[in-house]
Amino acid sequence: MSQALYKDDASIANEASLWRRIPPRHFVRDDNLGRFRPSSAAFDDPPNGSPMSVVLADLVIASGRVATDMLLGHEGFALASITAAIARSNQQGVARDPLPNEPAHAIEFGRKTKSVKKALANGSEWVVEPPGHSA
Amino acid sequence: MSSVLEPLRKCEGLSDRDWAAGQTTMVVPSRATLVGRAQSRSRSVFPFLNGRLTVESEGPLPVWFRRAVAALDELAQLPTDWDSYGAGAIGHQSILATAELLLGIMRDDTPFPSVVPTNRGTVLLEWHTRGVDLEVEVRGRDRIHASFEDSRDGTQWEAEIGPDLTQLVQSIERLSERDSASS
Amino acid sequence: MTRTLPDFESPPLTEVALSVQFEPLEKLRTAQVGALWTVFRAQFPRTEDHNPLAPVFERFGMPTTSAAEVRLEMLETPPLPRVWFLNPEGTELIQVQQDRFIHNWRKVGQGDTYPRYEHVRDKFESEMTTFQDVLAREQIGRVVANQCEVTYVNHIVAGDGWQTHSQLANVVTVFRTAYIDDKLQEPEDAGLSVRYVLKDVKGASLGRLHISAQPAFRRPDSRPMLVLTLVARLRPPGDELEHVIRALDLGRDAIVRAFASVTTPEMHKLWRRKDVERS
Repeated sequence: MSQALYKDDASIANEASLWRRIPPRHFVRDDNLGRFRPSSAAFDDPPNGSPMSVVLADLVIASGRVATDMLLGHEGFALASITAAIARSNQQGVARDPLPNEPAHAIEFGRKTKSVKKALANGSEWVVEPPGHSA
Repeated sequence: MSSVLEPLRKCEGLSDRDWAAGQTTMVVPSRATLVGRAQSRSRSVFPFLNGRLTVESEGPLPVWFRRAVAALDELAQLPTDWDSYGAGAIGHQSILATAELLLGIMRDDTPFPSVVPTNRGTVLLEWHTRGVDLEVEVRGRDRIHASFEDSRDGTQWEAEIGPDLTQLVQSIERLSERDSASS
Repeated sequence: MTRTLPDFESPPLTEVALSVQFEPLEKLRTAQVGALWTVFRAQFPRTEDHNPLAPVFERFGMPTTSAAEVRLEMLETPPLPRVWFLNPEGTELIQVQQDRFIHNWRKVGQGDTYPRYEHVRDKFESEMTTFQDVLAREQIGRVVANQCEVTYVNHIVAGDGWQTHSQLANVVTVFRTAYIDDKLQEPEDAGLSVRYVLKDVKGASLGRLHISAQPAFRRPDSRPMLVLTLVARLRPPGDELEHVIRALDLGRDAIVRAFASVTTPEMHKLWRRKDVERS
């Protein structure tokens, strides 16, 4: 489905947290910030052209799950969060996209230029820190 | 002009067989001189993936290059879906181009970058240190995208880089020469 | 618009090669090269295998003048050779490898005349079109050009104008035998290697022109000769065939003008220079 066909869902508040799994290859040391953070490469659309996957944190929590549940089966991964506000301020839209195995699934759509990906990475916070990579 | 160690000439054209270089004079091979030995062409071989990575260079390879080969070898061995979101394997052309680029732009005093895979199968080099943020995505030889920010003076640029690496080299020089104690 | 290019009735031109380098076609293997040869076989019935040429890129701004060459050799997969398709007379050649397509023309007999650049270029373009058609039909991939190269090889045999290799200055203008004292006699031989940056109209670096003059001896009579080679290598403005042709045209212009600049007026007389006005 072309990304142009997606519509931003205003019912997702700007304060809403969007969670994304970060693979170990995407933990980078940022000496300027004095900590590890996700690479900008972690915030890109997949190669098949569909929009970037996230989960809506409030739906995850409302279902009785915790953040670490998002990493089951993904050993060594971390979990990062960005707000819908940060996404929208970088020309991204946010829409619900529930899946059979993940009702909290959502998408962040829009053209992801280098500066957009950097802004998303810089605006992210750890929800589950990278294992073995403390600042 | 002629050398007793003249390498076997590769047959590249139809008229190559019409002539021969003069071989009447014995010239001291470059490896027999102190200066020449340091600059003679060297060949290094590293185990890599299911084969080997061979590097021919003028003079010995820098000390940091072994670390670069190890990092690139790890990326080359990543399976598809390594990021859990459908990422592709890392392309060999991107890996080879990254190795060549690093040899071309890095200095001995340049901080070693983070060597990061992208979900599109390319290699991303990242430097976030000394007040500088430099990211270089290597899609292939001559297909490079780079972005640079210097928090000290606000300089920033982003560009598709082709054959002219001047801007990238200057950014690496700025990064390398900056005092590591300051950020 | 009128454009004047130096022109010679009897230039010492011996070989011309037009080459395009492209992103490697991993699926171009032995069988596919064989399928390609069946299309060219009628004109080019002979084949030879040679070691592949390493990729070469003109780069600028790097602190090292000699870039390192990095190769990946996979133990299970032998490298594809560079395959030559030769015509029966030995005057024309197509060279194919996973990242290169080259057309060579050479002079064989004394009576052979250079068929003009445009003729060689048109043949190259036609052969490249055929190559691309085969790639598409066999689902091998697409040519994504990254460098183009024009090579002119001149064999300047001793005789009129110069007799020994010490007289390089009689042939090329960029070599001087001016000593500040008389301690040295004339050299036994001399050669040179010069390169120039090729720029576009906006001043951006496009590529390089390499000129080399190498003393040699002709086979089979061992007569002294000079091999004057001019290579223009530049990045095409895009990756389509029309961009490749445009880059080759630019490279050829640079070579022809440079050839006239670096060779002496005395040699121009021997080669019967005449400038051509074209519109």
